[in-house]
Amino acid sequence: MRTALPQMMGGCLGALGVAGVIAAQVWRARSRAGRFRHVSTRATNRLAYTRHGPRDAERPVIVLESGHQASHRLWHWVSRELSTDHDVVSYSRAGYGPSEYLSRATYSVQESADDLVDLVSALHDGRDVVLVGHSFGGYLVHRVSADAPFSIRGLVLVDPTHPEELVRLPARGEGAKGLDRSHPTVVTSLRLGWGALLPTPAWAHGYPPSVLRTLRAEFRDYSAWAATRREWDSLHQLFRSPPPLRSTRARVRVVAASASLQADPGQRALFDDYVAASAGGDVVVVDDADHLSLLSDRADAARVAAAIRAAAASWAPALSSERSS
Amino acid sequence: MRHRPAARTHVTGLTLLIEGILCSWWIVTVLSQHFQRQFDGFRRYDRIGLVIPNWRFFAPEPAMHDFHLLYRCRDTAGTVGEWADAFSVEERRWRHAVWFPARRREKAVFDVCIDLMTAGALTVDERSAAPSHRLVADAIRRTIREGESAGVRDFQFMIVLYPGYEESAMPDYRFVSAPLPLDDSAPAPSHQGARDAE
Repeated sequence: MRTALPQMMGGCLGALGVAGVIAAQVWRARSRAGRFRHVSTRATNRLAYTRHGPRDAERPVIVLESGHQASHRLWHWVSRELSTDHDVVSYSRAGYGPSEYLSRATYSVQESADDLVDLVSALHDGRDVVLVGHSFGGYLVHRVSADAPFSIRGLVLVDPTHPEELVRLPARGEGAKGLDRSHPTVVTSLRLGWGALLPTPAWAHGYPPSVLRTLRAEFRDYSAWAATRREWDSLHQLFRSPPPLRSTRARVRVVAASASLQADPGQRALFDDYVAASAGGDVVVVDDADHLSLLSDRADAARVAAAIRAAAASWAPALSSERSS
Repeated sequence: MRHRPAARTHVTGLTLLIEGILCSWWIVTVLSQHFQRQFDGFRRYDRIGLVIPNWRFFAPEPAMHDFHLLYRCRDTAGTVGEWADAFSVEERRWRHAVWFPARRREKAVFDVCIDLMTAGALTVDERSAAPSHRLVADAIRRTIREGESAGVRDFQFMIVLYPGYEESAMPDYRFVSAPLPLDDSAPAPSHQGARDAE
């Protein structure tokens, strides 16, 4: 009896393989799509940023720094809200979305910190800056604040990562082990088109369709996962024997999701650490919110934006003696 | 003679259809064997979990231990009895390949023990209030009441990880509960005795 089954199986698998490789490039291209301005950094990375809102000399520039495995697009709602009356800059770290990772040096978290400093130095126009960071971005903006070559009016840390959290929160430490195991082959798999089988995370549906479409592509983008892995390797090494939190002369507001505080009784002490290591500040809790809904849910993001706006308004301009450039 | 070509076409079409279904099934199966579960996009459509074979069912970290639930009772005079098995694992027989409803109970014990083990970050009080803790305690109360419960005031339970047939391995004592009253309407004794076994 004649059968076409072997040819059919081979042909289908081959066609899927070719389609997968093409799809991977399409997702990469979609992830980079859009109109952006760029800044080249000392590490030769090419950072893409967007800038919206009035440039009022009296008001600080607000710079939004994303979390781990996230591009500037997660700030969509917050940026839209704040840019009605503030000059708002959001950018993607090197390798995410439209930003290119071109550095040839071995990656370390300090490289991302330097990239941020270079970006803000190129854009602040001599005005004060409010640095806002979500998750890992919160740690990053706190890290650069100690010796940044521009005047920082304050920091807003949105559910920030704390360098000691893997050590002080056992559940987080356990979760990190899972993350460590899950990374190694993801990039190769995505290059082969396996991204088609990645489900879109539920939180992404909080964004409007145009942003959701791009986020879907970003989630399947091998470059973003390569950046994720690069950052995680460095972060994990750093956080396993964490350095003490550096003191900063900037004021700090921590915006915490209620779910983060409920998930672990030790979380509040980590947020308080950030305030204690600053020139003063507070912790504001957003009720009925979780780590990602703070940015993806329109109502939660509006509350985050309100907390940022209120903090920026209450902080007096940095004294000229505080300005280092 | 006229009917032959038509019959051949019909058979070829049916064959192609069957082969197409088999080929699709094979492709879906191959694509669903990625060892990272995040690429399990097709499995969400396999509601019964039987259509797409899964090599990870016993891999890459197969379970090599059984959880054993032990308990001991304390009577009103304060005398503490010996540890006893709360549920014995039934020795497998050939007929179990066809009919073995009691296996569900072993699986349930395994699942609640896993749940109690993964609650390691909780405080003692939080863990005692966990549904898995209450399930185990209630199941042991029932076991005690079905046996000799006269004079029993309270009991403790312990979870032991043990490979079963491999007798050279040492049992791993994982959790010891606080004393729990046999009469669950009575106020609970202090929880201070509950701890992870070391």
